[in-house]
Amino acid sequence: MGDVTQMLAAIERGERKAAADLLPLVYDELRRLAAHRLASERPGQTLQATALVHEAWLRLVGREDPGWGGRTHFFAAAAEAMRRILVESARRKQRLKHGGHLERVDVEEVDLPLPLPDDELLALDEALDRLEALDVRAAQMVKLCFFVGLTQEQAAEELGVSLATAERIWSFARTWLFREIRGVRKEGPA
Amino acid sequence: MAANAERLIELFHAAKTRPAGVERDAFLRDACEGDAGMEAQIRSLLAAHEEVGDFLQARPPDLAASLPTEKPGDRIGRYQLLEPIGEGGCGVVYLAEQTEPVRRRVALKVIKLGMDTKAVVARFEAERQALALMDHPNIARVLDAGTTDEGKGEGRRAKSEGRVSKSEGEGGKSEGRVSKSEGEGRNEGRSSKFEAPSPRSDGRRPVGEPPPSDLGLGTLAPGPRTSPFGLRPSNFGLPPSSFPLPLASARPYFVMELVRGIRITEYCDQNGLSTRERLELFIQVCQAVQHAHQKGIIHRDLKPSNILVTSHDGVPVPKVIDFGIAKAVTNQRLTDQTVFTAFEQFLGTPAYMSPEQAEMSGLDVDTRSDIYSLGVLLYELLTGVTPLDARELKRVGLDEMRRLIREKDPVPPSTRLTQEWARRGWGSAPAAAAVPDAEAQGGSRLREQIKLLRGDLDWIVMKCLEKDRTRRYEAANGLAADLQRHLNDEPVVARPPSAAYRFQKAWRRHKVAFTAAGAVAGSLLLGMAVSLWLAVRASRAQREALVAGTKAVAAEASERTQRYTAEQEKIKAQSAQATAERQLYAANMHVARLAFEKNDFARLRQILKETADDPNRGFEWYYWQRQAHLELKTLRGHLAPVVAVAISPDGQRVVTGSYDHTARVWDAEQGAELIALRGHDREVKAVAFSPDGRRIVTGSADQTVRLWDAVTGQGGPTLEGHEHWVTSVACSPDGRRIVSGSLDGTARLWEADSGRWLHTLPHGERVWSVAFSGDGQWVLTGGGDETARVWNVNTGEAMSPRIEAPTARMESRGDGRGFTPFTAVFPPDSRLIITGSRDQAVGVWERVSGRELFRLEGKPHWLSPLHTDVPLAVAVSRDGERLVTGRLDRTADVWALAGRTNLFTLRGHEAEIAAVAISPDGRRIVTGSFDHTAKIWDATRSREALLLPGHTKVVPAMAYSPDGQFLATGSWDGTARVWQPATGRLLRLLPHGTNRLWAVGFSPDGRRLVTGGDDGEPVVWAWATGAQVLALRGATASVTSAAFFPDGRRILTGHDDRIARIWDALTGRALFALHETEAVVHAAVSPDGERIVTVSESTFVGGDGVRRLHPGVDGIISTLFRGAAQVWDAAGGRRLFPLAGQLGGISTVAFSPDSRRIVAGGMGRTVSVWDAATGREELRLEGHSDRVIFTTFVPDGTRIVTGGFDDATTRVWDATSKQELLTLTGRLALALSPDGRQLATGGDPPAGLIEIATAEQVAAWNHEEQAARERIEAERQHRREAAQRLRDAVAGP
Repeated sequence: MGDVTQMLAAIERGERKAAADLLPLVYDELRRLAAHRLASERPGQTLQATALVHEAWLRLVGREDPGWGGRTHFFAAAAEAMRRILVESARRKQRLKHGGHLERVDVEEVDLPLPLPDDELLALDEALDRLEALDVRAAQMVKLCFFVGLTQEQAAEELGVSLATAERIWSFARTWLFREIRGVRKEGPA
Repeated sequence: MAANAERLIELFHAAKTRPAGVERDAFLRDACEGDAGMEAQIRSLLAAHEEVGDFLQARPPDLAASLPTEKPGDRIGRYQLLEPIGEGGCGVVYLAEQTEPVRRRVALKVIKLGMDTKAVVARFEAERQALALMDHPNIARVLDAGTTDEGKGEGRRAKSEGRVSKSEGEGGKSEGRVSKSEGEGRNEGRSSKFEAPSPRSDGRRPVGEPPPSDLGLGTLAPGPRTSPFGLRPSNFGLPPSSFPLPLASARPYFVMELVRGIRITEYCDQNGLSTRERLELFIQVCQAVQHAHQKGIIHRDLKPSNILVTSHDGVPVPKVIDFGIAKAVTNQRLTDQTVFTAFEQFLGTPAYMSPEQAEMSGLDVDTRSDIYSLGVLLYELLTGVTPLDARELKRVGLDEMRRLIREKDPVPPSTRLTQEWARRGWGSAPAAAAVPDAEAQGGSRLREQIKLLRGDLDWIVMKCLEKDRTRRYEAANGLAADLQRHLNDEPVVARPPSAAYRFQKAWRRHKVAFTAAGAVAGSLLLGMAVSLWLAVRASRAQREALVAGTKAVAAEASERTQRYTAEQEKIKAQSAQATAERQLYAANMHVARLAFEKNDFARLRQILKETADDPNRGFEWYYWQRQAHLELKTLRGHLAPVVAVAISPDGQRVVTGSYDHTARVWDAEQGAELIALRGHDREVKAVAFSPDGRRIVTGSADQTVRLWDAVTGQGGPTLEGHEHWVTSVACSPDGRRIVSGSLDGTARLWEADSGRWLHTLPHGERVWSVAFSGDGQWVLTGGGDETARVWNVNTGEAMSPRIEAPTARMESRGDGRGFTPFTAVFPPDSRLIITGSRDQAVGVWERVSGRELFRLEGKPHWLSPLHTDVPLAVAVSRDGERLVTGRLDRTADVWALAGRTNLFTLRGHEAEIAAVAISPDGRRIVTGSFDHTAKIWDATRSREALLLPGHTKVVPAMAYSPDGQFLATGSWDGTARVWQPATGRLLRLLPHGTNRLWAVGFSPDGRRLVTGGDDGEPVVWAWATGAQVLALRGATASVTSAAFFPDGRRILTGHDDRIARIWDALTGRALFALHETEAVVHAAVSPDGERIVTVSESTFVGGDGVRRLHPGVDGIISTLFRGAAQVWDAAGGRRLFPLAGQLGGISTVAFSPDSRRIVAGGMGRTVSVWDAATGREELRLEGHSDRVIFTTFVPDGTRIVTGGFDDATTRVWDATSKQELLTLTGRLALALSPDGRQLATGGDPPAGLIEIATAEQVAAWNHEEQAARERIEAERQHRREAAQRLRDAVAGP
């Protein structure tokens, strides 16, 4: 799909329509990849969400390097898409736990393994929005490092800050989120 | 808010670094300046920080993360891992403790999963000797290497461990200051030193111990890039008895001398080293590199993070690390694939990569590449930046980066600083009058530096950075020497000598002599000096030339030594390499099979491409090529997923609709693209032909339906009216009406000629499919509410019944209702309605009553509930007999409706199938897929194997005629049949009798066939007419094998009574007999007609043999098999010699095509190969689980094919390395065609033929694919340009 590269270039140029189209594309790709991986791996094996994003990158963009700007857009879309997928999975789990409707259980259906317990993940999702209101870069760090799986240095480059600054932001963001979520945990699931 | 946040973060960070308690409290109070809220915030954050641990810290995104990795505390070989101290692009580095023979701390780097372990270690081994000989104070030694298998690592001992770095010691304290920042390497999610991993949960380092430095883990290029569609093989749940696949869990590791230091660039900055001091440090580095080059080792990855500076008694000592590792880990050929990985774009720091490395053309990288990197380092040490801006290189795409490295000329260091000067706004001439601002901000230093660099240093640096490597310094020593000369104010080589230049040097050297006081005298002297210089220039020049000449000779000599050493190493490495490569190839073939079984055709094709030039490839490679091209034709040309297909009524053309906004028309026979229908603004989601084949209808996400002339491609009327995506279109059988379905909840009827809108059919929910009944009276709509409705075409009224799929009653999962695709089609007689629903099942309903008749269960796909834009693709053949379904698992199934059986499966697409269609004559199926292609298939049979139906019982005997034109099969049903293997057509049936046939064989001219069975009387037929020409009488024991001699004049038969008999082929007279000791199971004649080999087997009790246990009626039975093999002279029947080795009884035997080897297989589960002249066993193949009933060499002698009777497998082996290269389960090969391209399989009927591809076919496929790629790329380029033009036009003047 070399058109993703085109799309990224279009976003760079400021075409809003392209931006709106990118997210569902990445979203679809991630889910599709998740399905493939889950279908072919043995049950019980872990599936890293970040590995999926890497794979989606290879599939959608691959060799056609869109350059730094294009990468940023892709990461943003991927982070958002992965976040939604994980939150969906978490919500589904919650419903089941709390006695949701008896759905026909497909033998093949396996939920995407969550990197955090489901209630924590949902709490994280909400807290992330609050963090974004407090400091945009902190929220971006979390999205890039946690949902997309970039390393500190890569995230630093994306945000356009020094590595030292990035490390500081990351440390702060983690602590802040931890504090918020721990507060939730103490109170019990919403 | 933002400002607050920044401050918050800063204060949090600052408070965190202060020790808790009094100091921290004091700091907080001061810093917060009374802001109680802020202080409280920070305190609560600090409290949280105590417990945050590794919350949200992700493990490094390792694509094979499911396998166990090392942890601190693990042992690898002789080393105990202590803690990770950093991570590079290709692996993790641990601080480790070596326990024997010496106890000391080392650095251990484990290369991460995804690398080809054996190849990496092999390459490393090749250099090992040379690496061990390296002994230089400025080189960190690589001490050991191994693989992380259990129990391994002991084997290798580091040679000459003489020199232990002084910087080691227990809990080593580093004298130098330790840097905060990481190396170039990729960090783990666990970030900086402050959060460095340690056993403590609070993440703080034990007080007093400085963090061990990262070893400047380079970002080294990893192994072959993972494919877009799959991962490197991890563990596929192979049974342990399968052949030794190098599991990815065994990874290479390198043990290196532990160096506690910081990067050279940082060391210089932090300690404020002067230019002179930096040069002195750098010269040491050059000496180290020179030492390595003389040993034939090229570093390939020199950069600051690989050059660490430690401090010994206050004296800085640079150490170069990672020698030998870059080469081992990198592929010899740096292709696009090897330097890419997910996100990391370009591994290897591009700023330091030499132009020839960036070229990636496979040009041999030599010592001068290291010189280039040294030049970049020198540049950075002198100016603070690299010649090509590192950030800029990463910012642009790969191609542009390569171009820059290859072509962009950097500015000399002094010019760079001058630019910096200018950038600060101090004017353009630093040497001019001092600017006040400049002085204040360090401008004077900058000015000094510019002056220093201008001249010699500029030249020296630029000489290293020459794009043309022949113009660089030939040796690191040369570079070091020139720098030394510069420091001594002597003329440097880099500059072309000129008089003024020399004088300048002399002036500096003898400044004292030229004092200002003696200015006049000085100027006179100057004048004299100059003329003196000029006078002496000639001889001086001559001397210089002599010196230079000598230097050149010396340089050449050293280069020759280098090359010689390199040659030696190469030869040694080659054999190790060859074995490693063969194993690699075998592993690749295994992965190919696994990819095929998982329908992962992208992976399969990728492996075939990767091994296309592998000299080890053979039979199995061509087998997989064939399996990867089971379709008849692939239609390539679309730029995006193909989601709609239709076949013209005459079956000659195919139209495809794609997300690339076009529909295209193709020739169904050739697969060539005829026309592209352009005009839609968005994805084309539906296509259909009119019944007369003259028009094409397309439906698109742009909400319109368009008509086109099918021949010219001219667009006709555009039908507007839908308010959402059009998902389906159909033409009425009389061609007068068109129906279109849309997500706006309606289907619309139109008049085909005028495009006039006739009716709207309000389905109510999103409509996903539409169809006309065979008589054109009804229209069927399938909706997102998973119902199908029937409508009257003339009135537009809904008819009963309404069909509801069972899944419609389920609660939707999350998304709104009506969002699920649902297909409904009419089979031609319209009695039935066939639906495809989201659970991947096909339902068949009675139209009149709406009753469900039956379902064909599909495999529910995880994606299916959520996948919103691809319904299950369903198509029915015109005769109503067959059904095709296209799935999300990339395959399509062909079903027989009557018996509800799955006939066969179409495999080959690399992504989900979105659309299927069957040609009107029922002979072709077209599938459209998300892999951007459509494929045309044979609808009548699967092409995986050609079946030969007819025999009713087991087929134990098969043979090809020598010219390969005919194939004979013999069966327990008493008949023999002759077939045409090219087509599978039955030519003749020969009724041997009522007893079981065991053997068949052709005469050399292929006209006669001998068959033998239980009655012991072989029969010779002129099979073309079916006439019996001879009966060979004289034996009564069952015939076990029968064959003609190569000259056609005699026939050899083996019998159950231990006698092999030779007969005259014309008269049928028995000539002589060979008496064996056991029952003769098989006999064969060598191709040169000289020898006969007989193999026999019996089940006597007592003596030696192979004991086999099998379940019997009364319990476990133990049977003893004994076997023998003899070689006889074919002329007179004289026994020559036995074949030793196979004791368990032999069931099959064959000669190699050159008559020099004999291969046989039997009960011992093994297959043996003997030298046919001496009877000596050459090799033994293991792998079958039971009796081997067939074996032969392939025509070129490189492979052995075996068929196992009880496990019904066919295996192909490498005849030299014994590796099993191909395993086919469920098929028992009994014969190989003379050209080696076809396997005949037997056993339980029906018999079959398996073909492999020819080199010509492969070339044709490659050619086709290449041409298609070019076409597609051209179109992409065209579109890009068009978009650009549009943009320019919009931007306006």
